[in-house]
Amino acid sequence: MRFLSHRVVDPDRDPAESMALLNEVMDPPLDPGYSSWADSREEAGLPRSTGGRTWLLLITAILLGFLLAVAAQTLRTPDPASAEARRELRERIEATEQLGDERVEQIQTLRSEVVALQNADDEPQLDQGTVQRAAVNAGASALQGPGVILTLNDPPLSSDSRDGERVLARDLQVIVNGLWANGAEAISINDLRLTSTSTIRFAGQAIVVDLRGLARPYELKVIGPQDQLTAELSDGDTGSYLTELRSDFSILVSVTPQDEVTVPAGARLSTRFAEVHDDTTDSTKDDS
Amino acid sequence: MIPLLGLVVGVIAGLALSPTVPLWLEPYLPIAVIAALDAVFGGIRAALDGAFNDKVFVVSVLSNVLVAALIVLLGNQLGVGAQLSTGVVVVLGLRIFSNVAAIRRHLMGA
Repeated sequence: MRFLSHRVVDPDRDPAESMALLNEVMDPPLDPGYSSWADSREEAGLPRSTGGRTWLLLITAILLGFLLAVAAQTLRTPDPASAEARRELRERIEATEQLGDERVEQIQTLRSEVVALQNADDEPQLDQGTVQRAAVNAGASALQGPGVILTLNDPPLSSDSRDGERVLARDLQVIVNGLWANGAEAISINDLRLTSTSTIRFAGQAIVVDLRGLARPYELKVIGPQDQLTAELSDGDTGSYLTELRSDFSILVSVTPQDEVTVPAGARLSTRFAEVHDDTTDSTKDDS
Repeated sequence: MIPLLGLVVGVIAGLALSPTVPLWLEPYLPIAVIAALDAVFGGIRAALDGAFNDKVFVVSVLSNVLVAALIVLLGNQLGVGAQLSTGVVVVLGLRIFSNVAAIRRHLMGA
């Protein structure tokens, strides 16, 4: 009680004293350096202000301007530079893909020319049936027939999706091998025909078939014995693999039998190093 | 008028020369600019109060820039560089705003 009464009777206390810090922040006084110098100059009989026309001030102003310009330039440059590089890379990728598409078209035109020339040959060395059978076996012609369409897709991204929930190149390899083993005669993935030299690989985040990147969803068109293929895809080894993909990685799988499946011709059929072995000539003649 | 002229000359020189700033100096640039701005607004306010002094101005610019850079350096060494930079920006920003408010009162009486 004594303490309280002592506080109450304090007469000189400024009621705003407790707000000093807030006042300092909201309405700060002039920098003490300036006021003390101005006071001492006034006492010495000089004007309070030195004015703005001194060499020191000019040099400081030049340095300040320099600092501003250099800082602005230095801190501004990096982002546009990387954006420029990104844009250029994207343009190059698009241009290269377009070039690839053009080349594929060119290959198709050239191949049809080759076929036409072969047909036009007066003395065909091979009879037409053999040529066509070889073309079918090598995947050089588009084919049509009963079969199955199998579609794989990654599950949509959600908050509880886990890391491995996407279709991998390995999955496609297993499925394709299972299909070949069960009588499939022609397979294409996203309209890229699989031939005897085709590859299914993983490059970074994308599945690559014959050096072409694939976009989701992955659509496999298979020509072959429908009953056997659907049985394999539901009850066989491939079927259990698909079930595992569905249940463990929630990958979207759909199998639809179709009476008329069209598989396009393969894009790259020529060999780069292998040559046709000729029995009648010496195979080592090139070495001389 | 003369300081303004000097500022323009400095900006033009900076743009024309465009020197490469060494990488270790880059984190200090934004802080240095804000510290310098604080000193400049303090100086303008003093000039309007009729109490400007060139030596005080130069010393306040230099000390502001040096202390701000020192705080950022210390923060970087302690691993809290970003937080300390933010702190410096907030404090200097408050001072700049209050000085600008005083300048505004001088110029427009409001």
